[in-house]
Amino acid sequence: MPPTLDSSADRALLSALKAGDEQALRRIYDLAYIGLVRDLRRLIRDEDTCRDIAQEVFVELWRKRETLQVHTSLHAYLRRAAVNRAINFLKTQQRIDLQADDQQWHNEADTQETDAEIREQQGQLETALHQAIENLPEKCRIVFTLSRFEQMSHREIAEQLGISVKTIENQLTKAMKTLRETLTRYGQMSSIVILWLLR
Amino acid sequence: MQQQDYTWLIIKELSGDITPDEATALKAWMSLSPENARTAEDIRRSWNAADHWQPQVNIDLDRDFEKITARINEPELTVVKRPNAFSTRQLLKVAASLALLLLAVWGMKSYQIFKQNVIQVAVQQEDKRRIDLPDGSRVWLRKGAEIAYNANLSTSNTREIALIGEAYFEVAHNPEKPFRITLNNGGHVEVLGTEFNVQAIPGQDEWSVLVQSGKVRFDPQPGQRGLILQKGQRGVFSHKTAKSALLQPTTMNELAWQRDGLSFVSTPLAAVIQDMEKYYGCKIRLDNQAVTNCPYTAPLVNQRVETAIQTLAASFDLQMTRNEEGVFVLKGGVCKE
Repeated sequence: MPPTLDSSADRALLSALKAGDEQALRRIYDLAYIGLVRDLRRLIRDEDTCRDIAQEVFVELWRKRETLQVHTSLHAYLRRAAVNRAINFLKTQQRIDLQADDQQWHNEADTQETDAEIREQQGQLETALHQAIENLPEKCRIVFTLSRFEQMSHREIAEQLGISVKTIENQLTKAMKTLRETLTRYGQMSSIVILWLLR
Repeated sequence: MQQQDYTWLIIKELSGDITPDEATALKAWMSLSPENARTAEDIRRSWNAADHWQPQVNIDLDRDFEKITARINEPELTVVKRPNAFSTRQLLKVAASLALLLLAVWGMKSYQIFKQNVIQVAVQQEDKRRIDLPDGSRVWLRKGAEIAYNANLSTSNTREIALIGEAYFEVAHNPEKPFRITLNNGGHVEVLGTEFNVQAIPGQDEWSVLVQSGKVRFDPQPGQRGLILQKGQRGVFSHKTAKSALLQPTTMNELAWQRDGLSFVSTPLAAVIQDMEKYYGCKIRLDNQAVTNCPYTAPLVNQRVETAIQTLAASFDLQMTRNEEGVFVLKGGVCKE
């Protein structure tokens, strides 16, 4: 989790922001910007695009400051705004065919697997797992990210992406299968290391 | 149902989308076989392992903020209304120190995760193996158990160990550095004192911690405040009922594997038989109910199973026979001592 703004800091920063204090915007930016770009990078590979989208979120925050309604936390608000923009981007700009048959991704996934294997040989399990996530087929990675990191329900993801719950199921199953394979390729010994890492 | 369907249910559980009916079905499937439990465990671990997945980004904060201000000022000049200077400054001071604190906490955590050198030990062939940890603590791993710990355990601020299976711990006293064991469901055993046994075998309903000396905290599940166990106490957690209980065992023979034998001090015969059955993996039937509470004392019982039972039978004048199913049957007898 990136650094979060706690509720008292939220209130203070929000009221300063509403009063038109540009310094408050900078504070919020300093606390949240890198985290947002990182969150976006899980969904969109190109870092410049991610930075662009994150910047838009702050421009919007400033423009809407007077009428702003934050119901959860400031951090959750910004993150959701960024993710919504990213989903929009994926659907419109990048034209990822979210409806497409999985078949077309198979080649891509196969060639990229060797990268993950090389990392594994270096003995860095966590790196290998993360590499495996990065190398998931585009749609698979997006669905996994929305479920795993954005706490969206399967129905919500289906609605946002305009695809069926069944497709979400298939994509998530595929993602977990790939990750589990990476994990088991390390053999029995490694699960204890994962446990230690996750303590 | 096929394997596929259960993988899906496991994912639904992890993402919080599972319905009560599905949860019941999943639980039943997991208890069907150790493999099923293991599959679920692997998927859960894979899911959790993604937690630290943080794509690398390379950001110049000042440069990007300039872009934001440029965009803000583009369409129209925004009039900045300043509140009075005193309150703003105070506010900024609070916000700044808070930011620093949060960043410091975050930075430390990710550093710890990625920079450590993890040592793993698994005992697959031998009945047990003793591991001497860098901080002077000793661990006896029982067959099938695995542990992982940091190579610089003695110099780090906390002593963190992961355990799958059963192990006996003799923890070097150091109140400054808590000794914490993570179990494979995310539960914990935290050591406040010294010697204890942890039984946390995947797929087994009951997990337990038996304390030989000192004081231990057993948090059987993540986020669930557990039991504080004192010397001679046993904390048991049942996965089926998700409940834990504090028991006062009559013997310490849960530790027999580590001590190379059982030990009894005025232990009621019924309890002696229970311990022997567990230790030797045999079945013993006591026919005469009048002798169930007879006290038995034997400092070390580690002979062959027949000899051990014969010795026990002799001290109460019991007649020992073995029936066709291999059950040791004890008849007659009187209380002595």
